[in-house]
Amino acid sequence: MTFQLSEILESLSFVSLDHFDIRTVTLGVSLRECQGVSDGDVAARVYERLTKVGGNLVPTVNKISERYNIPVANRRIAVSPVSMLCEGHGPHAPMKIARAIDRAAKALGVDYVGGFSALIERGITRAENALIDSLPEVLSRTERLCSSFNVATTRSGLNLDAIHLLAGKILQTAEATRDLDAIGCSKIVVFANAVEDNPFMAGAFHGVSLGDEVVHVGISGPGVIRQVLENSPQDLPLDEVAERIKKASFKMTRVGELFLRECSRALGYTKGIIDISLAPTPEPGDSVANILEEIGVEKTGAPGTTTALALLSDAVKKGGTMAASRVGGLSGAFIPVSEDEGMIRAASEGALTLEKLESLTCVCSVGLDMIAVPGDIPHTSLTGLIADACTLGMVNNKTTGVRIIPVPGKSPGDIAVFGGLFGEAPILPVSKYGCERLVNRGGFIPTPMQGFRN
Amino acid sequence: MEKVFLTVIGKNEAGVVAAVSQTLLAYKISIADITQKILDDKFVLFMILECRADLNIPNLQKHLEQSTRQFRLKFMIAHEELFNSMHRI
Repeated sequence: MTFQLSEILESLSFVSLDHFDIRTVTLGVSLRECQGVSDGDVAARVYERLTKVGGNLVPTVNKISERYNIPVANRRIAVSPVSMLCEGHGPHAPMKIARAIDRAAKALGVDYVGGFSALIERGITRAENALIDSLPEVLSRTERLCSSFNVATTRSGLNLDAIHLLAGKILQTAEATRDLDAIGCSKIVVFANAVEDNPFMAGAFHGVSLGDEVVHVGISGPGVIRQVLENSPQDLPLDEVAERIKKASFKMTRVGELFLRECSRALGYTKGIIDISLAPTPEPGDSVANILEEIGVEKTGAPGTTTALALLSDAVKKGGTMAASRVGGLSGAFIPVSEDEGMIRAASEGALTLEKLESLTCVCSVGLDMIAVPGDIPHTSLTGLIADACTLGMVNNKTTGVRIIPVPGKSPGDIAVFGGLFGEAPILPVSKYGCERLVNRGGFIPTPMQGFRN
Repeated sequence: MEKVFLTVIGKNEAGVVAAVSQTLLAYKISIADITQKILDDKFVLFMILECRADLNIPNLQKHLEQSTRQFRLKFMIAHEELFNSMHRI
């Protein structure tokens, strides 16, 4: 096969100049076989299973990364919702299993394990309740465990009581990790229409419909898309902008597909999905906000931002879909405020508000992500914010997720600093008007009309 | 045998190609194709290498960097399949 020199250089510049990487290789592991007579038993089986099946994950991924000279940012594991393993055991089961998973993650050298989760859109079992209750303690005493909850689906409606319960636990987790600007809350995602094969944290879990072990790959590359647009004429029509984004996304996804194929073969586990997502980092040049500004909004958050993000997200998916044998996860564009240098700047300067972020939820891959709010936000207002984002997902038949961080002792104008890939976030003001009476009514929002497709 | 693509970017100086080839010889790697160009004042050398499947790419890269220190070159090495995936359907 012969190549043009320009093709070779294009591939190399993706990595060396434009921050392209494989954002994550995530091994999904079913833990359903780890039932036991006592919670200690279950924890021991979980540790044994994870260390057995995950033993080759890190060295295998590293070897493939070297072969293709493409960096892999994270190696992760997603497990079956832990709440299922707690059924029939006492209130200490969640903590015991959490510690076992955290120990296994350290032993394997994986960055995070997702799946300290429960699917509670219709109701909450005793075991799920115990797991939710343990959140502040678990997330302040473990390092690598991530937690997620599904509280609404288009087919089932929205469980407001569950959201209110979780909002309370988010506030307690913030307090339990107040010395680190409430970083514990960065490991809790509340979803509507959660997907079973998401490789990205903190919301990854191994769905109950999947097999024993499955490998997924999440790609990234906001820098590549930005560079493509920077090299294009400033007055290029939007349909042509979309075409160029599709082409770049196709090439990036092909690399993801190559990694997925090789990882699946080398590990001997089922080939899962490619998540075609633009996932930013706080590194300069690796920002989704910068792409929106390159498309033509003066600052992210200005009028036109939702239109630009919709164009971007759709073109990324269209380009990647043909390049991958199976697309899944949260594919689209992530807009985590603290993890995106351009978003941080726009939010600090007042261009990007909480209300605008809520509207972006309708067209991005997740929703209100890594957003810091004042630690003294009323419990009911936090419930209302999460419910609003989940309602958008439920009604529009899409996945939405909320990862919100109420930072104790901080107020608008302050900055919460999380460090590393989590970055930093200016504290965004929340409306001074409340929704106490709505939340205190309690109950469920029934299935929307969009859910009746029988 | 497998194909690996080596790209070298730097300043054009006497002995660059010789120094790179010397290190490849030490690894018993044969050069299947070689092209060089001046692009934007930069010297770009591109080689298709034939090597064993168990070639340790990071090691080779390190050795190339060490043995050509005086030229301050930038090396990028990746398996052929990467380029096939990105540029050919």
